[in-house]
Amino acid sequence: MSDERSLAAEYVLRLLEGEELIEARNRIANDPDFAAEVRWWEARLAPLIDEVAPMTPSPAVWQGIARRMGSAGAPLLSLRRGLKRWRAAALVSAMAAAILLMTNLRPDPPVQPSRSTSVQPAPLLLASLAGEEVPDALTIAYRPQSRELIVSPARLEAPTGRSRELWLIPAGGQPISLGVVATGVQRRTIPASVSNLMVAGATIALSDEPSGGSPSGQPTGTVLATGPLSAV
Amino acid sequence: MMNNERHGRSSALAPEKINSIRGGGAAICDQASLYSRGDFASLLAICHRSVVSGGMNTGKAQAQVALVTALRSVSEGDEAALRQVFDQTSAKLMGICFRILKDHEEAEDALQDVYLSVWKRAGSFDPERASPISWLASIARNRAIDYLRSRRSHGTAVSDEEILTVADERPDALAVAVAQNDSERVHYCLSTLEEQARDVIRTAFFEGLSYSALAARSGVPLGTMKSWIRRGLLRLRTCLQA
Repeated sequence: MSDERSLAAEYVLRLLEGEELIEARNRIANDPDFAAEVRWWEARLAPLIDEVAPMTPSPAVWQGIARRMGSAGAPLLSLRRGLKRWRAAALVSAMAAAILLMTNLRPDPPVQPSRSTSVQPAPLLLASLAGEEVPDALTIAYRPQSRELIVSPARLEAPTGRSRELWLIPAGGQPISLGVVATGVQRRTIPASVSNLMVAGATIALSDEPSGGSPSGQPTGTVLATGPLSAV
Repeated sequence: MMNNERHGRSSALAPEKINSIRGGGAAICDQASLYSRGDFASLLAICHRSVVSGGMNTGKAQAQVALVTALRSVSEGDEAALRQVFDQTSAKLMGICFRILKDHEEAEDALQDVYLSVWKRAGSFDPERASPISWLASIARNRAIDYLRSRRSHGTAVSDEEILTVADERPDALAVAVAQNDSERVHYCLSTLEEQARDVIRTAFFEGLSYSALAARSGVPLGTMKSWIRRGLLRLRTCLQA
């Protein structure tokens, strides 16, 4: 068990792993007091950075940034600030571009040299979720190679005491929770057992649940939006 | 919780406070008045930190304003502004990445990711909540730690830096100002801890090691390491709040 009073600091220091880390992340998304405490620790510890000696990077670093920036398109979060009412189609294409960049930000596992004759880019799965109330609820991208899921909520305001939970519904199967969604871009790694079911044609759904997510492991509230997974 | 006392005291700068800041005559605050209304509040937060707290010289405050302004331009898609941010901060952030990764090439890879992340996320930087260099340093530290962890086991590292952007939007300019004011305080408070706790907390911060990695390195059971650090963090918190 983690100590309630030191959890925020442990999170900021990145000491946590496993269940304690998951617990802290859930608290940040759902408990404003805890999130404030995380920021308090960040601000308090930040001055330690003064002790780190500067070190000039080689010119290749900027060259790499400039090259990758060019293919990245416009900054992502200025969209959130300035233009609240994007049409779903425009949003999906912008998100797809942004997500492609973001998935590239992760270090890739080394490529096997034996198969290097024609290296195919890892397939990417996208789903855009829409419902009656929320025509452009969120977009998700999934990279099977790294089992990495990126969730970009567009319009998502859960009432106090409620959470929004994401589900994978395999064709003909039971819903499997993909976790609670918060207001911001989130990235998470999916367990291998679930990853096998993240295939084109499966359905992704968003439901209204009690704070912290469905207690039963199955959706209990209204389904707000759904969308099919499709390969890009 | 404890921090709400500080947050609750004042989240906005009262007019008389603004006048007193401006009355302080720091050139930087006059510069702030040149900006549009929206930016003005943000820049005043810097004035507040630099002048009221007295902990920052004008040159440093000016550099901060330049950085805040550049980050705003970056959020609007200005590539030249990103270059400016890079020129101003890359040596520091490289130092942070290298200290964690201890590998020059890998540190440079992480550094590239950091600035691409800044390119994407500059719009989420809020100058009233963090100083620009703290914000950037935190991205660099987290990204380098992501690299470190993915080096050990592929696929387990989820970027905490993304998750932090999720946190609520409660303004706490004053909390930041207070922290800035006490920038020496964390050094002092760490020095009051027992040597054992101080050393492991510092290692955690500067090298980005997890509990299990720290325990393995020190050759003590995981539970022992956790209790050293937790006890140290609770004392640290008491000292930082004092």
